[in-house]
Amino acid sequence: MSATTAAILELAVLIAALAVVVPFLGRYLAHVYTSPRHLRVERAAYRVLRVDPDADQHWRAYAMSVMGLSLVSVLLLYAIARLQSHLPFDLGFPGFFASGAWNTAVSFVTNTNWQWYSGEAAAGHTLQAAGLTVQNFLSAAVGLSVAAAFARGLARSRAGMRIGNFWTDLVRTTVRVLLPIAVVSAVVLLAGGVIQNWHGFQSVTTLTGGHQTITGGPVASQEAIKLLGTNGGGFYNANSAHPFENPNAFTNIVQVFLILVLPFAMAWAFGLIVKDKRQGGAIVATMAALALASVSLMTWAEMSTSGAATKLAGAAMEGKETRFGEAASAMYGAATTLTSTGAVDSMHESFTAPGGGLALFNMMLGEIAPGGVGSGLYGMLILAVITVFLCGLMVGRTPEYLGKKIGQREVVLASLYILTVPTLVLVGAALGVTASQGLAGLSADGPHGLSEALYAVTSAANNNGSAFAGITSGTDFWNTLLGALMLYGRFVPIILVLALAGRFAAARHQPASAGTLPTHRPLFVGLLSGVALVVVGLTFVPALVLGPIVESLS
Amino acid sequence: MSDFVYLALTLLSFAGFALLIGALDRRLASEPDPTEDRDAGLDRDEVASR
Repeated sequence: MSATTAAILELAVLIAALAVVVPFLGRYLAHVYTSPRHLRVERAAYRVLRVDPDADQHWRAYAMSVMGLSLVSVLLLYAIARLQSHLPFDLGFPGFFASGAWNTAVSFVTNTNWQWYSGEAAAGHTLQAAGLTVQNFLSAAVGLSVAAAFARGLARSRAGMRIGNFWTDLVRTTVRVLLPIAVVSAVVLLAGGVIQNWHGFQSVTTLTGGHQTITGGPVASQEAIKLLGTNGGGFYNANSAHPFENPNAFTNIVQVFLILVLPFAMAWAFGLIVKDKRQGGAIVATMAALALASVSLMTWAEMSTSGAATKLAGAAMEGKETRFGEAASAMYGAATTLTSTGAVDSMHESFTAPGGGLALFNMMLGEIAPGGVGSGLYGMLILAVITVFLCGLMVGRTPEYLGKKIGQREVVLASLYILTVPTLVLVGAALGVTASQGLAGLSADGPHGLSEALYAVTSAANNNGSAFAGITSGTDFWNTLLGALMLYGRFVPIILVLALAGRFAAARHQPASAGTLPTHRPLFVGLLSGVALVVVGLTFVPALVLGPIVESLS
Repeated sequence: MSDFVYLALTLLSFAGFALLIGALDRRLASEPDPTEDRDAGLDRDEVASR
């Protein structure tokens, strides 16, 4: 079988699996976020948290609850990382230094999972399982909860800015969605060969008679939520390129499936929550069109052998695992940067210049195709608001989306959302390539050095977490800069989304008129895709030109 | 850098988020329902459709 046929078959299997599962999971998610009934275990959690699960929160209270949980999570994870040498199963590792602990705490609470450290050489089992994995669940649940609240805001009419109860959403997401799917996924990954144990270091004799020390640990359980929650933080430094995390082609495609399934299903659920299935279908179609274009382009970039070294080798295999090959590596690279995952099964710095540039562009697009769990949906809905506004301007009609008029305040909130992350990225990149401590962390100069810095700040501000692999980021400068970008890149957009949700919930629902732009037709899918590419993509063109584009032309 | 610096950075950041929430809430609360004050801004087609 040729490499091209294998690539097409892999993609076809992935699309078929998603097409079967997404509608079912979407229906289930919609039920979870609209059902009035509470499970017994959930009632116990509410008693512990001392919250009334049926109390509808004003958007302000909802947002303050998100901030409260996240603040406590950052402080707790910081303490665990700093004090890990005093905790059981520390494997003899010292506590993280202050900037490293803060970067790690912020990274996992914001669903970014940027890792400046090597997991197997710095993190004990307690930090991995009780600290990082717990945040993998909670940060994913926060993203899904905010998306559910936004959908609820659009679905309600004259609800006085009330958008649901954060604690109910959080507990339900964890108990009914993430935990059960993660358990099943962990078992599938175990069956595929991913390890799961509580071993520390083991000395083994290799086939050539040498000696090697191997670290074991609870990998499969962390791996499942790492992918399902679009977290991305690996147990090992090599992430999913490590054979204990991702041993073969079967686990590789399962991992790509897990990365994509919840973001697409949440978009499907959106249509059901707003009681118009076609709206969810339009969002899913937009996400799928952008994702398919990206996967195809990246696969083409990695498989079209250009350059003397690549032509001699017959394939662009530097930084890729031979057990996956070029196409599967490109598919994984596209999936992980189109979502906020950041897990890698190959080193993105070794991608061809157009391939690496596409990975960067995927993140710059705001990770909306399909994006992170929850964050992908609300990012795409913000773009939908901008799209109907622009179309309204073009034809001279009052813009509206799902029966909600889009006025000045709505556009201001949506515009602030669109501008927040690009501002963080560009200011962060400028700091990274002008400060001497920033330059000291780059492994290359010229356009490739700029790409390294740009990739790191883009990954941090968009809560992706993947690295270009060349940068040495474990310094006070990079830990603090990237930590701040992760923090503001996560919570400022969430606050704006919740404010907009409150605004929509308070507004009266207007029936569609002859002047209403239909938002469920292919025309809108095309407009939305175009707006995503133009409004977001063009923001970064100058930076992309100076980095990967110059590099690919030279 | 010390623990104190990062504790302060964390607390200040979240205090900033709380202030942003408060400021947005005040702005939005002072603004009437967007569907209630639109009549003057309706175009002819919309007026006709009612």
